Amino acid sequence: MAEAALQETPPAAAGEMLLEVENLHVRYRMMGPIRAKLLQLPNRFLDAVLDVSFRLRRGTTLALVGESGSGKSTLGRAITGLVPIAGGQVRFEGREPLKINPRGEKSYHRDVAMMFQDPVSSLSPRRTVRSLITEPFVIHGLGGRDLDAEARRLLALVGLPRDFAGRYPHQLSGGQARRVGVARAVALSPKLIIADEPTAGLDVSVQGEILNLMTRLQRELGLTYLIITHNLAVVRHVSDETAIMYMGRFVEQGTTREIFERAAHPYTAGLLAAQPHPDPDKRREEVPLLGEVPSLARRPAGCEFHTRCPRAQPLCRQQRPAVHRVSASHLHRCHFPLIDTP
Amino acid sequence: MALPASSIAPAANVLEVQGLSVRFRTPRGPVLALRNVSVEVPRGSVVGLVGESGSGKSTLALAVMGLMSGNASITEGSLRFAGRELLGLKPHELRALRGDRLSMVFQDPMTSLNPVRAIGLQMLDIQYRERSLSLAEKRRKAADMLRRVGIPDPERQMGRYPHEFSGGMRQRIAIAMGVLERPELLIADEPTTALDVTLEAQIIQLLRDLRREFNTSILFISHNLGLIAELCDIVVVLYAGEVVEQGTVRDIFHRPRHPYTQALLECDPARIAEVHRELPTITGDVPNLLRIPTGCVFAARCPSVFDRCRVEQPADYPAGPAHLARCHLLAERRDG
Repeated sequence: MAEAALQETPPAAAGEMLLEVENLHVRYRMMGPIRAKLLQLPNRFLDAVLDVSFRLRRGTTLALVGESGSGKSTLGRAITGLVPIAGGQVRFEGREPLKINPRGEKSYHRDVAMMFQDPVSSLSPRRTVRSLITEPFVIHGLGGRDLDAEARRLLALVGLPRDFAGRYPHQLSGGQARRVGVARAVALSPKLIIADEPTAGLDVSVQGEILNLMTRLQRELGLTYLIITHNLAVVRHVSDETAIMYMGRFVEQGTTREIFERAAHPYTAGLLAAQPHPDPDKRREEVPLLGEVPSLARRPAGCEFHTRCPRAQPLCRQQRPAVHRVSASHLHRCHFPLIDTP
Repeated sequence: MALPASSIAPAANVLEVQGLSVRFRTPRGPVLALRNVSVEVPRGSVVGLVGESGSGKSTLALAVMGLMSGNASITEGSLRFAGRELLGLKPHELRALRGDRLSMVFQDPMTSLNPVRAIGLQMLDIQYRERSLSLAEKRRKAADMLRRVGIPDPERQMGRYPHEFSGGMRQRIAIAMGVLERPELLIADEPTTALDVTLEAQIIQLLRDLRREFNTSILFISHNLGLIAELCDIVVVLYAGEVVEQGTVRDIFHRPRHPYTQALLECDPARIAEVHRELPTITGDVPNLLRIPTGCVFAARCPSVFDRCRVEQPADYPAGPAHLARCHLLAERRDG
C-alpha cells in the first residue's frame, strides 16, 4: 500500500473542536416501575448509548460503525436533540445547546443538519423538489428570502439540473433522491451534518457519486461530517476518524488508519474480516464473527462482547474493561487487545 | 469447480434460459425489461446474477418462478428446468414444481413469511405434498432443517411468530423453508441485503454448506460484487436488460472484457487498495427502457465507445472457453 496515499491531510480549517461529546448516556424507557417490579427486571430502561466520549474537529469526518442495534443511529439522533439524553454532555462550539432546552435551541438546529437513511421515504411524496429543498427556510422563519433563487443555488450545488425543481420524489432515481437529501441538509449552511447511512441501498457506481459530492461540499463549505454506516469499505476512503460501537459503547476509536491497520479490539477485527472480498481467490473459509448482538435488555456482564469473542477469558465475563490508550487518538476497551498497548 | 458451459451436455443444466425477452405493459408504452437473455445453471453450481438496480435481475428470477406481475409477458425465448420447458405449463403443473423442486428466497423474509402463523405451522404447510409422512415426522423434518440453518432449540422456536425473530434469524428461517424440500434449484434474490456484514457472512457460509450437503444449484442475485466473488462459480453480468458478459468467477473478476464489467469492478471501494477521497463512478445514466438505444446498450456511458457501437448491436463474442462478452471491441481485436 502506498505510503503517500495513506497520509491523512487534515483540511486547512482543522484544528478547532466543533463538537465535544462527554460520557453521553441515552436510554429508552421499556416499562413502568410496577411492571418492572412484577417481572423482577433489574433495569426497566434500555441503555442505547453508554459512556460515549469523542471530539470532532471542524472540517473532518468521523465514521460511526457497528451492527444494527449498536446504538449508532441513536447517538446521531441524541446529538441533534431528536432523542433526549439521560446523562453526559454535548458541547458544540464550546456551548451546551441541549442543556436548557433538551430538544436543542433553534439556532443549533440550523448549525446541525441530519441526512436520513432512506431518501425516498424521507421526502414527502406530494411535494416538488423545490418545495422540499426550500422547506428548511420556511421552518426557520426565513420564508422571506427569494426561495426560487435558493432552490436554483441548492440544485446547482448538488449537481442537479435546474428543471428538477418541478419534479416529485417518485420521478427521481435513487441517486437523484440522495442529492435532494443532501440539498436539504446543506440548505441553511450548517456546520455539522449527521448522515445516517448516506449510501445504503445504492449501486456502487452511484454510491461513488454521492460520496464525491459530500467530499466536494466538505471542501467548499468547510463542513464537518458524522457518518453513521456499516460499510467499512466506504469508511476507509472517506473518514478521518472511525469509532466502532457495540451495544451502545465505543469499543474502539482512532484515526481511520489506526482502525484499519492496527485494530486492537477483537470486535473491530471481526467486522473487518466480515467484509466480503471482491476477489474469488480470497474466499473466506470460516465465518469471522458468530451469532448476533445480544438483546440490550439482557446486557452481558463484564465485557459485553464476551459472548461472541473468540478470545474471551474468564476475566472478560466478570470485569468490564476500562478504556486503554494506544496513542493520543487510538482508544479501546479490551482486556486482551490484538496489539501491544504501551 | 466451475465447468465450462460448452463441455456440459444439456441435461447437466438444471436451468437453461434461452433468448428470453420480457415486456411490461406500462401507461407510457411497453418496457422491454429483458432482451434476448441466455443463462445456464449447471447442476450443483452457484451462478451469480450481478447488475445494478433496473438491470432486470429480479425480473429474470420471477420469470423462472412463473411469478411475474400481470402486466408482464414473455415475448420470446424458452425456460427449461431440468430438461422440461416451463413456458406453456399449466398453473397447476408449475405449482407442482414451485416450492418442491424449484424454490426462492427473497430479500425481505417478512414478505415471504406469513406474519399471523407460527413458523412451525408454516413449515408443516409447505410439506403438504408428502402424504406418506406423519405429522410428527414432518415436525421433526422441519426442526432438523431449522437446527441445520443455525436456529437454536428449534422445537420451542417453532411455536413463535415471524416478528418474534431478529432479521438474521428470519432470513435463516426463510432459507430453511426454501431448502426444506431439497429443491434442485434455489433462487436467492439479494438474500443478505437487509443484514449486517457479520450476518451476511454467516448466511453466505450457510448457502455454501447447503449446496455441498444437498447438491442444490443456486441462482444467486446480488449487486454486491464481494458476495458474488465469495460464493459463485459462474457470473452473469446484466445491464439494462441484457447479458453483457458471462464467464467463470475468475474470468469476470480477473479478466473482465466488457467495459461495463470493468467499470463496475473499478467502482467497488473494497477493490481500491489505496485510500482515495475521490471515488470512481460510471458517468451518465442507465438508458430509459422505453426507448432502447440502437447499437450497444452501454454505448452512451462507455469510455471506449467508437462509431460502430452507436449503430450496430454487438454479438456475443467468445473471450475464453466459457467466457462471452457482448462488445464490439472483441470483434475488432479478432479481426485486427
